Amino acid sequence: MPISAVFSERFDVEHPHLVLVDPVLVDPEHADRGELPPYEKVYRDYVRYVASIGMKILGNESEVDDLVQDVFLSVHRGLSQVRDPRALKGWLARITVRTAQKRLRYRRVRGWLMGGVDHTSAQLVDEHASPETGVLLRAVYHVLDGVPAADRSAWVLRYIENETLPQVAELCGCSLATAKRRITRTHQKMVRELSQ
Amino acid sequence: MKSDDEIENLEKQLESARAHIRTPISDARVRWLQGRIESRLARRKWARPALGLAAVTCASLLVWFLWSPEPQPPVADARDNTPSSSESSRQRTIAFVDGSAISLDDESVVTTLTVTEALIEVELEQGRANFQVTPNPQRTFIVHAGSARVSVLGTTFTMTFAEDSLTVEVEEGTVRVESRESDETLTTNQRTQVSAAAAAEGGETHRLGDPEQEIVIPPEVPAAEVANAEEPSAEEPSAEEPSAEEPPPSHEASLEDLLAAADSARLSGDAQRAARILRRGLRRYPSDPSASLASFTLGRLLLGQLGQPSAAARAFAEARRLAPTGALFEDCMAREVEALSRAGEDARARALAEQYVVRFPNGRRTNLVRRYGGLR
Repeated sequence: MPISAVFSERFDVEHPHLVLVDPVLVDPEHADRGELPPYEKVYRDYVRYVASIGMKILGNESEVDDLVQDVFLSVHRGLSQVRDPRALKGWLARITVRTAQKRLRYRRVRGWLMGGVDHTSAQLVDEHASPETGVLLRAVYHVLDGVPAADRSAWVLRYIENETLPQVAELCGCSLATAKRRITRTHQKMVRELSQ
Repeated sequence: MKSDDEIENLEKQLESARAHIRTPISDARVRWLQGRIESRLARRKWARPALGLAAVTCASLLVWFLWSPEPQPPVADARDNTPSSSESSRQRTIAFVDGSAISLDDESVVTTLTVTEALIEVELEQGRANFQVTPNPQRTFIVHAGSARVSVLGTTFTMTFAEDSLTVEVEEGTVRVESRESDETLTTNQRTQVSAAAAAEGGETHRLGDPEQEIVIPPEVPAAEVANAEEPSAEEPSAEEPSAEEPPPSHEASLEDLLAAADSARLSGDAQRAARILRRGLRRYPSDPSASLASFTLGRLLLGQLGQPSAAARAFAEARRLAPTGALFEDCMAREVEALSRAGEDARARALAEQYVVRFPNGRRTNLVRRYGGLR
């Protein structure tokens, strides 16, 4: 099955509006009461979610701490402006993706300036993974280190976080066509390099 | 264009692999991060009145941020995501699909380098590990520890690696232990201790590259035998006489034939002849798909057996030029760094090492490159 057919099969063409009320992006606990939770509760409830997405995009545990702090500083600043509590999780995820992309761009610049790049392999894989899985995941992130930040985030959200295409577009703040293009570009490179 | 089967196979592998990406956050870490955020929020309130000095502050912070170490999380988080982390000496197991397994202590560090149908290659970076290797004549199991290498075909043995000293104890079966000072075979209930320090200048580290290109390097030719060996210029035509064992210099001998002849010469201990054959092959077939491999092999001979690091660096550079996107590129680059360093060209070695770590941030040869490139 060609890549385009794979994407067509997974793209939910019938319910694009469901992106905003998709269970992955909606926090039902607060949606029912129609109220925004206080910042401290938002932090406690979503810090692990933010760290998880951050780790998957960055592939480097040593940067996740800074990412979490940056995200929640933004959350603290902008929480009062969120109107719909049902969209809280999606809003947090978008901030996380944007912040991770900034760190990826900074990482690339820092690599050229300082002559060294952080490693990802040692901390990426949990101890329950088979060695084959470890080798695969390290190879995947090795390929991801060679693609632009926007392409990388889109692909990770699609193939590692398992979001649908509309959700990827929503989280990346781009059109569906752009999300699809970024994912396809990265996926073709991934298949090409991992199949060698 | 890759086949649909390959794409589907990769996606299936990703589907099962993605669950194993670590989520690095524990309760202690959550609390620590919350404290950090509150500190930054508090600092932000006091920073507003000082905006007049923002330009100077930003410049200073940029320099500080680039050079300062990362703030450290609580020490207890070092193993937060591992089960039973409160146990003082917990064993972990790495299991391979063929049934082979590695049991590790809490302090042991093992990295898997290669897993293919023909080869499993791992590195014991520190500590103690017990290896149970399923017998399989089609598959080699190799463990690197510092500059030493242990290769097995089916056995149970324990390795302990600390402060450049490696101890190998065989419980069952046979292992071969190669180090800078010895090359020995151990059987059941035998034990050895060797130095596994990184090779000094002029030494040789026995490392395998791509399993498809596996090359068994014979013991080093004593220095006296190569002391008078000249480094032939790449521009000078070869003046050597082909021996009776070399393929005749006819147009019928392909580069593959010459590579095989060079291997034969090398395995019989005649590195000089092997190098001559490889050079002839490169002159005759500069555009052959295997030319990069030939140049890489020549580079390893020059660096290891023949003690000619400058010529070796040229050979590795040529191998990279011939196949800039090939499977050997990374190894060529790493070996070139090593060769340049041993030739005393530290500045060039460092410059190339810096390129390597940018291009291959998760590279297989990162430790080697950082060591020879002076990046540690």
